Amino acid sequence: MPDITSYSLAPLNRTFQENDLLHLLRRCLFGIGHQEFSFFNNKPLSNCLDILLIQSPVPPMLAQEDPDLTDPFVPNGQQWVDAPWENNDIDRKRRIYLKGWWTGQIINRDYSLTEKMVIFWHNHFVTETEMVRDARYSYRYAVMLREFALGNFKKLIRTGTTNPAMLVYLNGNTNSKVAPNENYGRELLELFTIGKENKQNYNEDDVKEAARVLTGWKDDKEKIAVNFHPELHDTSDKNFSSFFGNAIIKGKEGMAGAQETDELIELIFGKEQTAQFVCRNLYRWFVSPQLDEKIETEIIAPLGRVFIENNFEIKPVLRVLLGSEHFFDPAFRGCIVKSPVDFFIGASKQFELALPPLPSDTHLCWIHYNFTLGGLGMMVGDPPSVAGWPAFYQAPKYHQWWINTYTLSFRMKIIDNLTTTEGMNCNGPRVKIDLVNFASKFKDPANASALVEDSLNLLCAVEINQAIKDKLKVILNGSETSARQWNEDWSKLNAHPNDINQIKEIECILDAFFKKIISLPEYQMM
Amino acid sequence: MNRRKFIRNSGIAALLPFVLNALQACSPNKTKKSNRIFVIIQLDGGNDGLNTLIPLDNYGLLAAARSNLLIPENKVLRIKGSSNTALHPALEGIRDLYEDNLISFVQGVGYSNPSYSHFRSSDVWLTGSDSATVLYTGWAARFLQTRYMNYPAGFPNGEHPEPPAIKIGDTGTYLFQGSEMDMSIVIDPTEGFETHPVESSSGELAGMAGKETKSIREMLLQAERYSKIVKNALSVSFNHSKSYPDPGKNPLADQLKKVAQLINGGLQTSVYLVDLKGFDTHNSQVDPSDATKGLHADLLGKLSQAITCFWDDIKGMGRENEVAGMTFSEFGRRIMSNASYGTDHGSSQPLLFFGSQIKGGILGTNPVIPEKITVNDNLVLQYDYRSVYASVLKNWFEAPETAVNEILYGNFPQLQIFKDEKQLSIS
Repeated sequence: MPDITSYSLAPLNRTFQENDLLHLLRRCLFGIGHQEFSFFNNKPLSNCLDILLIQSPVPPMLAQEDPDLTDPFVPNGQQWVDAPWENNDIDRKRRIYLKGWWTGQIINRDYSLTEKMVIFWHNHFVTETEMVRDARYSYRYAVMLREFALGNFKKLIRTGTTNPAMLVYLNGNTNSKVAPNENYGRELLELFTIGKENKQNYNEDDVKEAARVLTGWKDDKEKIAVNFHPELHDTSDKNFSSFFGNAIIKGKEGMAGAQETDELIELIFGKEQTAQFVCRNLYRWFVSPQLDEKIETEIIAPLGRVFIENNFEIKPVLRVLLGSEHFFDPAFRGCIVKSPVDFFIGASKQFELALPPLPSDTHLCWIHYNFTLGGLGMMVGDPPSVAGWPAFYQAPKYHQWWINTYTLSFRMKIIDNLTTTEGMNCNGPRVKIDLVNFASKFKDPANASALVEDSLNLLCAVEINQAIKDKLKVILNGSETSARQWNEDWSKLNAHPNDINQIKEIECILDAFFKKIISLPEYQMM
Repeated sequence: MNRRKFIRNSGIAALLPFVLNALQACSPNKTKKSNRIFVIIQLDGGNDGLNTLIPLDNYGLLAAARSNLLIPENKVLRIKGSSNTALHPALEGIRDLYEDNLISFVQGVGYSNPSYSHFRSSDVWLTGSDSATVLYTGWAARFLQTRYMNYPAGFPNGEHPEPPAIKIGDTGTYLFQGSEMDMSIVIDPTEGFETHPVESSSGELAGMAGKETKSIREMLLQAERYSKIVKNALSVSFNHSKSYPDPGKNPLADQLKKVAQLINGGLQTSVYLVDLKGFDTHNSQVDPSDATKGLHADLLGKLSQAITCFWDDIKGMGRENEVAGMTFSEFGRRIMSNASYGTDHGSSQPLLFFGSQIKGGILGTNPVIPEKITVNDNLVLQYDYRSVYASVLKNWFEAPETAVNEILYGNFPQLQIFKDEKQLSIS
């Protein structure tokens, strides 16, 4: 990577410019439009980071508003999160509701990193709602990710180890001294903390010992809780490999057996690999998927030390990384392919899409968004496997996994739907982007050249060449032979804001104009 | 520098294009143009081979190792000509095809020093590497690069109007990742094939972002270039087998139906990948009250139904001699079951091959079950999985041996999976 010039985690030591701000926001929020830009514009970097690092409160689950709801335990106007679990059919609807709600929180995001970090942890510390098959458990998992989004990683892992959704998802609830189930123990080491990454570190015996430590936890569907059962716990000593300094976790009788789980977490977090593994994933998430030896030594290693020194609090790490010289190196501008959430919810936020005001309609839209994200390869609430989405872990393609002939055409189709006259059908309610309103918020929308420049500056993280800019201008002005002039058209609209025909003409031009921008491969980058 | 690093940084992976180009330059016609099609079915999660192909000669030991998910001996599906091996009762369709000599099994397939990680082991199987080496191209893509030289430059063309590979679903795969780009068109089983116009060049930037936009543009162009031929193939009407379940009931059947439609539509694409998810049966692999039911039975039932319907279609279009396929999973499962009526990750597994050009029967011996079983015991490796690929490349696709060795980074003995060369009817 020859074009990276700064390998320093020191705070940015030059003027924090407009395009620096856009870069920061593109990586931290889903969708950057006029609102986001003007809110943060002219604030110093440290102030921007302060705002981004404020954790959003955990929003309540919506009350049921679906008139067709067949859930016998939950009358309309009430929540299902503490209701009894009877069967999968009833639960399936709750799961759809839950995933819609979660997607809605992303759409409702404020100016905090919270939603971006909730998805980060969701991808890092995976459960799949459709595998857990108890929406109440998955709700508690989702709430946990929100509580720890900008909190303490070690506490997240300890809490999550005995979270009911996680316990069911990775079979911790059937892991007993008679027949240990290695599933959670393995993924705890391989995917959640130390990481395998084809390195020689812990071994297969460590997986088995970790599994034995974790024996005895069971979920309780009635109480919606997780309890420790000493009679299922393996009380013999657990011997770890030299990687763990040949540590022994002494087997404990009775309820004390539960403490072994805490000791295991201590053992794992005593290894610097754990801090580095998470820092590496944060780097791929926020900076660039591609790491080399120099980035390992100059960035990941010191960042890992910051993580350890701060006892695995996530905020100090993010503050250092997102405020660093390295992060703002121009080499990283637009180098990440937008994930489906960045693309779809991002575009909706960017173009200020308004959802219908009625709560039941809003919820139908959220559910539709969740399904559509699934079609694009990223259903929130249901990653494809315990490793998360391949675009975040599978070297060397990483984010290129989002892109194939099917998903690209689907991405374009979504924009078509959002800009048609009727709007996108969201299970009944329809939503539509108001491009005239969007264009009117630029500094000088009547000026074709300025509109081209300003639109590209806001919408594309990557420089666009002159040939494309010329084509965009032609869309606004018409070809040389046509009599149309963009500034006259736009001025006429301003003079007669209720002239339906004029609005239609302008809409039609802007539709072609913005779709042209969105169809550029450069628009896929952030 | 260790071996893995060497290969990743500067070794075979980097040399590959040159090796293949050199190969193509001296023998441009050796890889014969062929109409043969190979369909690969990926069973995601790790299929339990011992409950798929059940060793009856070791039944007592098997019963001791996995009593809670053992298929009762009177419920197993007996197969003609094999007194020692039986099938899971959900595999009736497969049994019928087997008895018609349209199915072969290969026992004990895997690799040495197996990885028990889903992700690493899937990558191994898709890229065709050994346990320690990391490869970034798919084994099928490396083969296709010998047929579609310098792809994507110059494709499609008169000789090769078709996409080299097709993945049914909504995600790409390592299997088709070539040294230049992904060589597959991805087609959703429930939707048509749509493309969008793209500027052929906007003067790519240097640097990281430019590298990404270039590959996105290439992908858009690739879709556009193959749009017509794929749409044409999909528009040819065909009376599918009546046995297909309703759409959405069996995702594998939906996918294979799409493959059948494309084959019938005249597409000469030679490799397809489809998948069935959910084989990671740590839990509730069988129903506690009836070991013949449960997750695994459902999945095998879907597999059996999907292959049966698909083969009906292939017969219906009279293309039996041109189509064959195989299943694989990232690993088999542990011999000993766990307390949750499930099994943990294991090593080697039986593979299934189908098609009228398949030799039939069972290759290899029933797996050995240790007398004193422990949770650590795994099945013994009988065949390196690359021997299977070597057989597909050499015997099915008639790739020259030198090319096969280059593609697989080694000389792996072929297995008698396909009929002998003389018996193979060339269409």
